[in-house]
Amino acid sequence: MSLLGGRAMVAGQKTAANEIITLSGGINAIDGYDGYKMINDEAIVAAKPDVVLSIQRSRDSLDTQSVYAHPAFAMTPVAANKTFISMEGLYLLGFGPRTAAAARDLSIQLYPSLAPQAEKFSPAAFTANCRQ
Amino acid sequence: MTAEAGLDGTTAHAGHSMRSPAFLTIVCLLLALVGAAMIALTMGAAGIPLSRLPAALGYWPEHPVNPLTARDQLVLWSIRIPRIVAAAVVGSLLAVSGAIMQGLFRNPLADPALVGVSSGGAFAAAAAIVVSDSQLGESLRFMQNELLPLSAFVGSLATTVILYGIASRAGRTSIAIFLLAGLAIAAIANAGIGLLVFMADDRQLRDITFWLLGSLSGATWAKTATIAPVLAVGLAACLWIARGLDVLVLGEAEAFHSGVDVERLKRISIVLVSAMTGVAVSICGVVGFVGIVVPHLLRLVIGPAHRLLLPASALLGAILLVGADTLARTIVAPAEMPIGVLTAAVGAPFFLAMLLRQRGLVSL
Repeated sequence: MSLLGGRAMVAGQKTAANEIITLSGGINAIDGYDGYKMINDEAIVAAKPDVVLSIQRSRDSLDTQSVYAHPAFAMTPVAANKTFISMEGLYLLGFGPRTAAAARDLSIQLYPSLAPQAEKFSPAAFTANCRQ
Repeated sequence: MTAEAGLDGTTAHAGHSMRSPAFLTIVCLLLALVGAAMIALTMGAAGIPLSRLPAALGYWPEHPVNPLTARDQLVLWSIRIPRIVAAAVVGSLLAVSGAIMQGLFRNPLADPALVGVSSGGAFAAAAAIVVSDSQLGESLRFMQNELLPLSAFVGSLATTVILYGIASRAGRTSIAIFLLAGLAIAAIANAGIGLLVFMADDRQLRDITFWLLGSLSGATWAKTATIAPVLAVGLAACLWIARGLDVLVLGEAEAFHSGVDVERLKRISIVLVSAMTGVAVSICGVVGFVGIVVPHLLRLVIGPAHRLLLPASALLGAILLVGADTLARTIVAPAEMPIGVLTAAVGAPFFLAMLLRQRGLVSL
């Protein structure tokens, strides 16, 4: 969620982030707590996340590097496979009409092999003309 | 639990004879610190069982090499051990600055948090969190990782310089004004933090809250290496100012007539305290209560002589913070408990108990 001075804040269960991960077919690596909390570095290693999903921030490119360089994330598949994903916060966690599209985009990123199938799916919210 | 066990052991030993040799106290505290560090070493969310610990530390290589040993080693050496060391260093810094400040102000309530040094650092850190997402933060991108600790340090230092400027007049420093101005500056800094909290967005708000509660999470060798020299210089300087602080108890004029250069003593002490608090805040945010509990506990046990009190404070501060940090990173694993909550929760009741037991014997 955020990495501040080497401290990582990570979404647990019962969060919007957890829901969108589940919707996209992923599994939240953190099942030990609810809500957004600061996580223990060793617990990151123990959770062995395959992907780190974060909301986009102005200094995004640097965030990517600091995630890979973080002592705990460096020991997980995230750093080995360079699988840091960031998406616009409101799009990802807003749970509005665009949520279906966000879940589609996220699952393409999580499972690239699904891309051809996902191309065919375009949520009604994107094509509907609301002014009529 | 670790911290309390450590405290019990040391007080039981030293409590019998108030004039026991200084080195006995120091040795007891050192042993307790080693014990606390050992216990801290065995605990952690990554779950390294005791049987695998010696191998991970590099002692007696196992013959059927366990594939997990490499991972254990990484966890120990790049996460757990740097954090234990950082906790010990920060604990020492906070406890010693508390002890110096109480000696300097001849006031048992003096604490870096009280005179606004910590608040100034926290305000600067909160400002850095909010600013780093704005246009200005964009131009400071190149030092994104250093921005927060650096601004916390600069904030603490600036607060002290302002305070000192207010309290000094014609080469003399008024301690009473220093203390009162400190309270006012702490209030200003807190108002500033309130304003920043109001301006912050959702995520910044969480960052600020966690920063204010303090945590040693994210401690690395590099960070520890930047604060350790400050502790070394601070401790060396302590031995030098210890006698001056002892004499200062009599009063400023009396100390001056006893041949102590009071103004220089004050200057050195203030610079020391602000540097030590500043680097501590820059690493771990605001961790309260260590600076006030540790020196008091020790005064109750070993008496007020600074030559022994200052090094002993460093050791006991380290023990307290190593213990508290071990709890912080294990009791709610995989999440992390803010350490400020624990130092107060462990330290305050123990301190109260000591006070009640010694009430009447010691006048504070």
